[in-house]
Amino acid sequence: MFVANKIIFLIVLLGVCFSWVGCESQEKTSTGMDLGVINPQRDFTLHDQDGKIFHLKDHRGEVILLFFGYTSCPDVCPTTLSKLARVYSLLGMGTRQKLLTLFVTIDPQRDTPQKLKEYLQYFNINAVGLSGTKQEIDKVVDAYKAMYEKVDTNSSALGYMFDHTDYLYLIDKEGKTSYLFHPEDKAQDMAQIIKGL
Amino acid sequence: MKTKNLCCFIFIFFVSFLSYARADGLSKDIFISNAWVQAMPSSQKISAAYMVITNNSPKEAILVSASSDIAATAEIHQMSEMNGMMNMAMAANVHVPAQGKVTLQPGGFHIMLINLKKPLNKGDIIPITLHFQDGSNITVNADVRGQ
Ligand SMILES: [Cu+2]
Repeated sequence: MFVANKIIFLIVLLGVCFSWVGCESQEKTSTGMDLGVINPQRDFTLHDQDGKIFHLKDHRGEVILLFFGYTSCPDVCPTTLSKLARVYSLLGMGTRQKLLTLFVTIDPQRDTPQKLKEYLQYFNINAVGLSGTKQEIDKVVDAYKAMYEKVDTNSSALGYMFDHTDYLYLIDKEGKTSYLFHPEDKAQDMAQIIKGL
Repeated sequence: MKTKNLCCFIFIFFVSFLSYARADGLSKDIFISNAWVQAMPSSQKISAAYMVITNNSPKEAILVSASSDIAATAEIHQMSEMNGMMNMAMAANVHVPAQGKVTLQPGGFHIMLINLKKPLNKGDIIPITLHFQDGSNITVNADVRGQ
């Protein structure tokens, strides 16, 4: 059933892709999903962890890994960031310096810029935490067809949590989303694809 | 002299084996391996513990709760995919089949450690006690891992 949900989600996502630009070819590889060079740029503006305005379009020429998450996320987010640390370690100095990870919080209420900064520093990767108002964040989430939902955990000792999509978007030097990485993807294979951009 | 050394060695080997069994399995049929806790920045008051629970008995083992001195609360949680999103929910128990095993791993089951009493640094050893339905308890030493 879970697999079925995932497949449905991917079909919907692909459908969305197709309708964006009359695209020609899409190829599902063993690692990530190759979206081809068919995606329009989806620029956005948010605030970074130092309180400065962040425009995605100022980062042309860099390869970007975009992730939507929150710092009190216990499983998906630290696992993904730990894997990214492995990906970074597999890259040469040149590629590593041109690879920027963007962590967009879906929990602006709890994730202050300071908290985002401290959290991302811990994983020792070239990452910037981004935040904004809920409306600003939702706009970016929608643009990338990501999803999240606040969940009140009344029976658990935790406060509220989020259900969220766990994909990593690989944005190329022209600002186009070229790959979607899944949690199952291996660090080695991801590094290989990033090197190829 | 040589015989004495050998006896000594066998004795130490036997004793260390006993203490291993006591630390890792109250019931001789349940073994916990590869127990680890996700290292987290010190500002985080939560983390998750993962492990492999192997049940060598002819009866199903049911994990019903967990506890740890390091956290105010420990809960059994399960990640699953719902409507294309990853969802985390409390799980009442984990069934470990007879002669089988269950792996607690990212994306699946974990022991959620809530309201940590001290930061989890890489390399720390965290004791976690697993409580089974038959009343048996097993304390496992989980190591804190980062990347
Ligand atoms: Cu949890």
